[in-house]
Amino acid sequence: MEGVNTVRRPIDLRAKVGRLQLDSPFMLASGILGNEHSLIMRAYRAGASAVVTKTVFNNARNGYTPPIYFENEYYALNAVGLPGSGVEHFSEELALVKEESKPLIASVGGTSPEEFSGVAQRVIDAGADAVELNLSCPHVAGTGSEIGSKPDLVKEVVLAVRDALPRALIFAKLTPNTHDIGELGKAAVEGGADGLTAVNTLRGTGFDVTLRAPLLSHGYGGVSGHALHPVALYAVQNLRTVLPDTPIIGVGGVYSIEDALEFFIAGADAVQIGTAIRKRGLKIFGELRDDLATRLRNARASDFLKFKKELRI
Amino acid sequence: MAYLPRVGEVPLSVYYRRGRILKFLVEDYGGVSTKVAGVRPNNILAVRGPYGHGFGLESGKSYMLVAGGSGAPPVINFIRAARKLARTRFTYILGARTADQLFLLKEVEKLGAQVFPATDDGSMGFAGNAVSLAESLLEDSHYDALYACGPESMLESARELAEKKKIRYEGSYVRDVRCAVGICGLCVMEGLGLLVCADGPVFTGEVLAAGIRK
Repeated sequence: MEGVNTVRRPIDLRAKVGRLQLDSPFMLASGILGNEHSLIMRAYRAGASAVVTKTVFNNARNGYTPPIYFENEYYALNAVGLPGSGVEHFSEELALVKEESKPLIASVGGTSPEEFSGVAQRVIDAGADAVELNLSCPHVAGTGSEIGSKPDLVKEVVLAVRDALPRALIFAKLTPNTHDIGELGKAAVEGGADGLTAVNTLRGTGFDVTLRAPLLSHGYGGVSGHALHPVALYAVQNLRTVLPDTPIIGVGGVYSIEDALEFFIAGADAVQIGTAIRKRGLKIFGELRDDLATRLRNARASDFLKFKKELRI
Repeated sequence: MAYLPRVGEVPLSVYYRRGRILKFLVEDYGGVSTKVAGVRPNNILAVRGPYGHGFGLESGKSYMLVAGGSGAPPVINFIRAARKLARTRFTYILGARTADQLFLLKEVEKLGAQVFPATDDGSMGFAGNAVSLAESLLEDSHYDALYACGPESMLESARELAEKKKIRYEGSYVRDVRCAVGICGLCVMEGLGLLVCADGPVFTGEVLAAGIRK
């Protein structure tokens, strides 16, 4: 029977990724919708605890011509080509984001340490709360994973950004296209990164058999979605082992609360959602929050931070 | 989206579909569209979609329809559906710079509907732009809604006209559609937080005005 004793205790979903304070562990991943202020605000309103923008470079980039995206039930394949209007225009967009209470994280790109640090400086000046360095896009020449798969270059880029921004919150987004992601994580931390985002997409391709043509105009791209999930979990577990105290954000194939909990077991402090938005829409953020609250209640836990600690193995 | 293998895709609107036959209009605005517009018999063009939604239709209402440039296809789909509904009336204005750019004029005539052409140079029909013709027709009789598809400047003047006449407005908008499935964000309607591919391409006057007031 319903009675006064069944009054629900308040559930505290707040998460912490180092100095980054979040109202839940569910963030919007870079590359999805985060290119314009009203879309960013829509993601916040849908319940994302933080938004990571699309990657911004110093100059405008066109990106690739469609087809840029393919999806089946197992994975998605994309090669959008990091389009953007350049840091000058993007800084204006950042300034239009009216959401004071939730962190805005600018994804920063570059083809040199100087470009990374220059763009990072501009976006922080424009109001971004943190930067996430894109050291991991698998399908654009001269940047992303071409830099990010070499530990010495990772360290050099992070050092340059840290030099330019001694107090800024810096995350390094790592590539799974490597034989040892632990080395990349260590290099980023040695360079001065506050935390790591693991992982970006895996390089991959596919063909339309009838057309005898690639599925993507660029020829190849990045694999995300369900197929990326075990790869990303392994990366997080590996990083957590070699860097026990470094804040880590897990990203790759989070469609359900189970997927997210696996990341917390592996050692992630928060997760980012990307490809799942295609199927579930932005309402996935509200659903994940509800599902997490239910899990906490069932475990008779009142706050996520404690719950997460107990999940770790 | 129409894909010319190993070249690229362009967003487009199908205006006829029966069995395995699709008809659509491709505007040549350079790049991939030039190559898609240049396809010949036996070339292979793959199509994915449809994505998004068209104009709203209710029986018993009257509609002023305005198309310009390559904007006829979604209006033709609307006309085909509207003709099957009882007590549903519409007037269709097709605008272009000059008579030979009045695309798909005959397609609508084949449906048995009347077309009011408007040309900037006066080479056919009303001399002037399509929205001015709509305005003068709206002086004479009442319509419940004004729907438009065409260049953005035309859409903006159509939206203003509907606002002035206090009638419903819907417009079909063009942006940089790439993924077409609502995640790349490149076809955003700036300031509205909405995507042409997933939330449009047709937007109502109310939705657009919310963005303008911001």
